[in-house]
Amino acid sequence: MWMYEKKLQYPVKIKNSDPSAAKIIITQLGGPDGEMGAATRYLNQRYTMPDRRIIGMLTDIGTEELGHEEMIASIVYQLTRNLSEAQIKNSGFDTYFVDHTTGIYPQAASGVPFSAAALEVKGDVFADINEDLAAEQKARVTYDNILRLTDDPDVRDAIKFLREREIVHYQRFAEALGMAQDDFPDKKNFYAFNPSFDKCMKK
Amino acid sequence: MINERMNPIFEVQKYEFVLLETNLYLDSHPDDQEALEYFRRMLALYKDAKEKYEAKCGPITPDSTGIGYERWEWVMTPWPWELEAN
Repeated sequence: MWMYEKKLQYPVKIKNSDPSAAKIIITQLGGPDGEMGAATRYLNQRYTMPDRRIIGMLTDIGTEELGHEEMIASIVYQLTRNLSEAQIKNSGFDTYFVDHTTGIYPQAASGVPFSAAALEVKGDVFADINEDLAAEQKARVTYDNILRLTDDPDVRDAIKFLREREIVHYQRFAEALGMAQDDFPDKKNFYAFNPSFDKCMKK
Repeated sequence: MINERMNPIFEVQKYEFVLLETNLYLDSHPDDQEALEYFRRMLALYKDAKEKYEAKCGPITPDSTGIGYERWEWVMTPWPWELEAN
């Protein structure tokens, strides 16, 4: 069960509109390494995890990612306030505007709509946590790329916060992987697989 | 059929559901004093039920995990989809 908190995780206050920035930042909502994919991935991986601590981690990080969706949406909303016709036409935002006006639609910067095909739930602790480690790094790179493409300090401040969270989540997932390798039935599971997790299968 | 004597969480779920329904009604009727008073009354019952449940069975929210437990009980008790939790 989830409860909503009427506040952002970290402040977003952008004074100047910038539709071309909005068009690239929307990718962290609905793109292949965006926050919607992250939240969906972690919250759905939880059920078959063989360790309650890892379930806790996926629950808490997945919940935080829901908050990051709201931060990205807030950034895009603020970047697309009070646009002039010329701004829309000259910024490249026109291809988004024609379909969604300034509504928040989860898509990649390229215009491809959100796809669950960009995430994975394998039902195996080693496959899933490795997926999550890669996901955090890919999201971090995307934030790095956004920082390369934006100058506005108001935008960069919120993006830098989100980038740091990817790094922290990567660290936590690395611990989860370590826990899975060290603590399960055959100790020091060096090769990172464990068929005893499949005990639920009936022949 | 759900039996509330079998499942102590049901008391919490019951008041939470009442609060949610009242909340939805108040969203479209923000000045209804009667509904507002009802919400307050149910909120007190909800808080009481949550506190009793958490003292017996473990935390429902991370923020109550920090109070009254020796360890980070949040990750020690069953998760809601485990059969033991239902």
